[in-house]
Amino acid sequence: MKALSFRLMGAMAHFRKVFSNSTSLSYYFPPRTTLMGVVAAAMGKDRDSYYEELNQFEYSLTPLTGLRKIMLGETYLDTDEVSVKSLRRLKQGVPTGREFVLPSNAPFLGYRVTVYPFHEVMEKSLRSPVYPLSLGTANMLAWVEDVKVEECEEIQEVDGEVMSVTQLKPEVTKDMRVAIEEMVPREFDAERHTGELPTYFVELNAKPLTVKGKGRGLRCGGENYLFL
Amino acid sequence: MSDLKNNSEILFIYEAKLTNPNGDPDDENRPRMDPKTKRNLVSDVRLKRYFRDYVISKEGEDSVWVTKIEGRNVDATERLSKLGKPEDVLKKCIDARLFGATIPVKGQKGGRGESTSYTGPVQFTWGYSLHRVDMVDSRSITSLFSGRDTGYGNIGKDYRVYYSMIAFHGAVSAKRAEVTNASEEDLKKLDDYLWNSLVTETVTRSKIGQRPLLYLRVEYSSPEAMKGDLRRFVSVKEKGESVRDFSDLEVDLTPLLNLVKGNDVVRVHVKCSEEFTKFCEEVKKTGKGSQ
Repeated sequence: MKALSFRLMGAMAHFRKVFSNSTSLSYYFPPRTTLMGVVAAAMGKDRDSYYEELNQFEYSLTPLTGLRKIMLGETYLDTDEVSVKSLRRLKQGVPTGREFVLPSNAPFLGYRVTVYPFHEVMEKSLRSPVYPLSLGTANMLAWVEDVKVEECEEIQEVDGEVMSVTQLKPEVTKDMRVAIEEMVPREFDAERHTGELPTYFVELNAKPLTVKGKGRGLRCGGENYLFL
Repeated sequence: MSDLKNNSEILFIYEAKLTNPNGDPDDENRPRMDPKTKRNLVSDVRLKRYFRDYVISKEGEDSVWVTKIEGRNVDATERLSKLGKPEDVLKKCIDARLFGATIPVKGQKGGRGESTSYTGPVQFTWGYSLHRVDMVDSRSITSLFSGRDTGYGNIGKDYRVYYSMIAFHGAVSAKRAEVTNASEEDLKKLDDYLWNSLVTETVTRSKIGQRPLLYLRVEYSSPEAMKGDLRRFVSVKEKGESVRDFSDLEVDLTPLLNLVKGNDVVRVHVKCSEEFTKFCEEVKKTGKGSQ
């Protein structure tokens, strides 16, 4: 069975945690909802118009470079009050912190995204995106490379190494750096409400994780990828 | 209707010498740094502020949406309210057309107001130095002004970098320009004003010592072409242990020139400082350049 796979690259990323309040924390990787947004931007779909359509696909996410976070201060517009004064910066802004994801062993961040089942229009769009792509917010500009069609088989459980971010608890050895990302959104309803917020494990040196258990995913070229 | 037909990508390189390119408000206004790679960071907002300040100095406050106007009278507030309709803001303010804006809409009969957001066709990433940057070790300063009548001034902190060659990547989406009506003329202004602003708007005490080195905007042949971060086409090597000047770096722009020569690029808007004159001449030879 065919799946679509591509590399999503950029200098920096910010994937805002849904439970952040004034300080914008970031996940280490784009949640499934962000990946749907990336695909929607490539296909030229408008905001809020694609949740149902793109929810029909499964997405898998594999870090290609080491990941780390840094925190920087920023001054935001005060949007508590919707007025010309606040939105035009005529009154004091709100100083706050924002977390960014940076590569730890490469000049640019990289993730491999696998979308299943294969969709021809989506493939074409990713080769020449309609809107500029980004890693989270609009100013974290990204680009796509190595778009390819992969021959894969569906898997329902796994006992061994997985390349992707996973919900299954991995075996952790001394030389690994595994982070737990909690409350990561998977999907949006028409009103942009998230449903269940799963927890994921991610290896921060872009190494595979060893897991055992039930989980839907793909086996492509001898490697396992679990769906987000 | 926007007359922008093609996507573009921008690479803007400037240098900062014995200055604070962008202080972190959460960290005593120290220059933003990535502690692991020792790269100096500059937010996209800082870059856009230079542009906006330059527009204000050339065309007045009405041409810019996001701006601080201090100590204005009642008339000014009234004028701002008039400017506050989303369509009018886009018509009048070049920064709203290029970078997008969040514009308030008055609530009905005392109800809560709402806002309209536009994502701008021009997006800049955060800038970073293309090499490791050292902070100036000595940083205490004294001020003649004091909060108390002690006869002594206050002692404060003043953080600076020795030398930083900062590069920004930007993308211009023709498709997004359709919404905000950004025009070719707006983009031409962006080309010119960004460069000029690094000369004229960096004259405050903490920002002095900055100079533009290279501005490149490549226009692509199809409305859906983008290469992605142009900084990866620039290679910079440090000649010695510490970088204190442009001459301590070795800059190779060959991959960038190859990109310009490629078939995807139809037009190039380029400006070079004397250090990069050779690059500008090479671009000129391709017949695609406009300066």
